Parts: sequence; structure tokens; C-alpha cells
Amino acid sequence: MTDTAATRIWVWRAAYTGLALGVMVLSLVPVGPGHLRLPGPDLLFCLTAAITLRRPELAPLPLVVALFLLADFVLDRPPGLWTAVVVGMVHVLRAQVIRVRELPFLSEWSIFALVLAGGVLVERVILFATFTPAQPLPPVLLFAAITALVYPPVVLFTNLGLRLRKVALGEANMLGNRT
Amino acid sequence: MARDRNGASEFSRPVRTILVGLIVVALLGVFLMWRIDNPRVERMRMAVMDRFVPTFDWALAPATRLARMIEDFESYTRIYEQNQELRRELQQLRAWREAALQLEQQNARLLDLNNVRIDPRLTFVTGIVMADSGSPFRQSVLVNVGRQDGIIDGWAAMDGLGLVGRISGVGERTSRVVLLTDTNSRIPVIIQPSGQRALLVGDNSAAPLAQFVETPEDVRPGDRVVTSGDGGVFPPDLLVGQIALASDRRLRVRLAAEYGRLDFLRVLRSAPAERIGDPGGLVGLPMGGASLDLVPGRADD
Repeated sequence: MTDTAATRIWVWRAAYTGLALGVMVLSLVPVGPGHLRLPGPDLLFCLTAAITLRRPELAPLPLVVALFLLADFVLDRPPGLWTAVVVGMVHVLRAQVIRVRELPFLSEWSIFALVLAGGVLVERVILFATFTPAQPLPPVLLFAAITALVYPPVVLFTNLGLRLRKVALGEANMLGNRT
Repeated sequence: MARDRNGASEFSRPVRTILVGLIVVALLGVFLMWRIDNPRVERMRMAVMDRFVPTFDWALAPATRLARMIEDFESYTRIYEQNQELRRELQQLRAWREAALQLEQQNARLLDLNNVRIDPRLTFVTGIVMADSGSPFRQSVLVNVGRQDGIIDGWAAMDGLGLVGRISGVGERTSRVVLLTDTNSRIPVIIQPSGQRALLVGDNSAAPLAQFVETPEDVRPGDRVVTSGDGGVFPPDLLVGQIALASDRRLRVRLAAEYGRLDFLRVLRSAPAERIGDPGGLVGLPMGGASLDLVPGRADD
């Protein structure tokens, strides 16, 4: 009984890892490499946030750190910075899990957007503090806005595609051990 | 196993916060290391890319193909205009080809007459574009040639026609090409008929800026822009593009390389230009008896 529940959790985690790697590979596809695209969205963060707000145990911190660090390296970002910011954001989101469970989606979305805005701000402050050449502000704001806009479709995908729902009040004790 | 969620979180939250703090500090340490010792961490990044991208080659290839097919399909909608346009262009190109052939023959004859030795340094390695930078704020591509093909940091990359970018980061089997449109790209150029020197500065837009032009009045839209070779990094006289005047009256460069379709890139092997370091020696008869003996010898002939 416990055994199957444990393996199930690991299957979920593997699925999350697979999806994350898929997102990374897709963003590497050279579709007109010189073309200028809209900045964002950070699908990987949307996915992580959606899973964290539903079943936090499916996105354990070490896995999140490993995936985002890999993404930092592969996607040519300053390594470690965005990962650190994401770890902070995920920590804040985790503290909201119990509250979000009772809230409608609109509130969840606004919490996500606020946390994202805070994260982007913190990243920018650190970039300035270390005199790293940073992007001009408008594309960064656009990046945050697009990522926030993409959040509902990602949640729709986790709900319908992955069949991950928020834990209902009655099954709160099981917490993914039994579905 | 099944614990009360609230009870568990009451207990574990402080521990968790400390853990998160430690992880964040460690990650910021990585970031600071990148900031301080950039080349080492960038080498590490290239090593990761070297591992990661070829592993997912099987997934990248069909995805790329599919995306290109969709792009091609979109162009079907204006196939008629395209056809007309191509016909016109072809007509013009035929005339040019004729002229070029004649000039080539003439040139070869003249070179032969003058006994000119052509610079043999510019050979190239061709690579296939494997992956994009994956980030909206970075304009770079990954090509499938690396250290084992003899690629060195700083070499120029071109498509068939114009300059595309510069090698920055070399792995064992892959290397990164920073495109001219990247915000980190700075290339010294010459604007052709007037001979003005300028700096080509990428700013994440399709047409990079031409900055530090001494007398912008002498520069007109349509002027050719080529690399100047200043600084000894790039070979001189590689075609970059044409000057265009942006709506904010700033000079930009419309790139000659076809950025929409970067499939193959040529990486130019460029040896650093040789410098003439020592001042000229004294010219005269060599000292010693042996050279003096030569003089009657020559008179005998």
C-alpha cells in the first residue's frame, strides 16, 4: 500500500522532470534563430508554481534547484541567480498552499503574479548591485507580464492534462499518498 | 505516514526556511563566482552544453524540421508575389553574373601579370546550427563544430554572404556564436565609400546600431558596411550590411546575412595579423671577406 503510493509519487516527479526537460529543449529549437521574439514566458516557472500550489510534494526543492540550475546554464542566463530567485518564490508560494486551497482561481492567479513581480524585482536589484549589464526595463516587464498571462493555460494543462487538482478538504490528510 | 498537515508544517517550517536560506546563499555564491571568474564558469557552461545539446539531438531535429515546415507553409500564402519578385531578381542577377564572370577573368589575368600572391589565410570550417540561445535576451546560436575542429574563441562566423557573429565559448564538439544583434556584440567596421570608421553595437533589435561615426553627414543610407579589422580580432573587409536611417535619426545597419535562416555557418580560420616589430636594419654590404670574394665572381659571369 505505502509502496505503491511511494512509487506513484516518484512517477509524478519523473513526469515533472520530463516536462521540464521538454520545455528546455523546445526553447532551444532554432526557429529562425535571428528572429526577435517576445521575451518570455518562463514556462518552467509557471509549471513549477502550478504544481507547488497543488501538490507541493511532487516538486521537491532539490529537484527544482537542479532543474533551474540546468536551465540557467543551458539557456545562457547568469548561472544561479534566477534559480535563487525561484527558490525564494517557491518558498513563498509553499507558505500559501493552505490558503490557496480555499481560494478561487482568480486569487491564486493574482498571488502568482505578485510573487513573480517581487521575484523579478529582486533579480533586478541583485543585477544592479553587482554591476552586471542588465536588460533595459521594458522587455523585463513584458517578460513578467507574459509569464503571468501564460499561467492560466499552464494550470489548465495541469488540471486537465495531468489531472492534478488542489487537495480537497476531506482528503487533506492523505496528501498524495492515496488518490 | 499520514500526518496532520498543519501539525507537520508547524514543526517543519522553521527548519525549511533555514534550508531554503542556505540553498539561496549557495546559489548566489554560484552567481557571484560567475561574476568574478567569468571565463572559468563560462567554460563550465560550454561543457554542460556540450553534454546536454547532443543528448537531445534526436528531439531537436524533428522539432526544428516541423517548425520550419510551418514557417514555409505560411509563405505559401504569398507565393505569387514571391514568384514575380524572384523572376525580376533573377533577371538582374543574370546581368550581374555576366559582369562578374568577365571581371573575374580580367582580374585573374591582371593578377597573373602582376605576379600577385593571394592571402592564403582565410580558410573556413562549416558548421550546422544546432540550437538557439533559448533566452529572449540573448542572441546567439550553437553550432556543431568545436575544439576538436580547431575552433578558437573570437573567430568570425558568416553565412554565405555576410558576417553573422563571433565565436564566444568553445566546447569539445559545439561552440556558441554570439550574433551581431546581441547586446554584448561590438564590432569595429568601416562604412564603405566614405571610409568612416564606426562601432557596430547590437541592441537586441534586428538592425544593430552604428555608433561613434565621426562625421555622420558623410554617411548615407545604402552605404556598404564591412569589418575594419581594427584590434586584430576579425579579418578586414568582411561584408556586414548596409546603412539604414532609423526613424529616430540614428544610423543602423541592415545586415547582409539572412538572419531568418541560419542553417549553415562558416567559421573563418583567422590567424592573427603579423606585426612588423623591429626597426629596419642597416642596409649595406655584409661584413667579412666572403662577401667581398663574391664580387669578382659575379664579374666573371
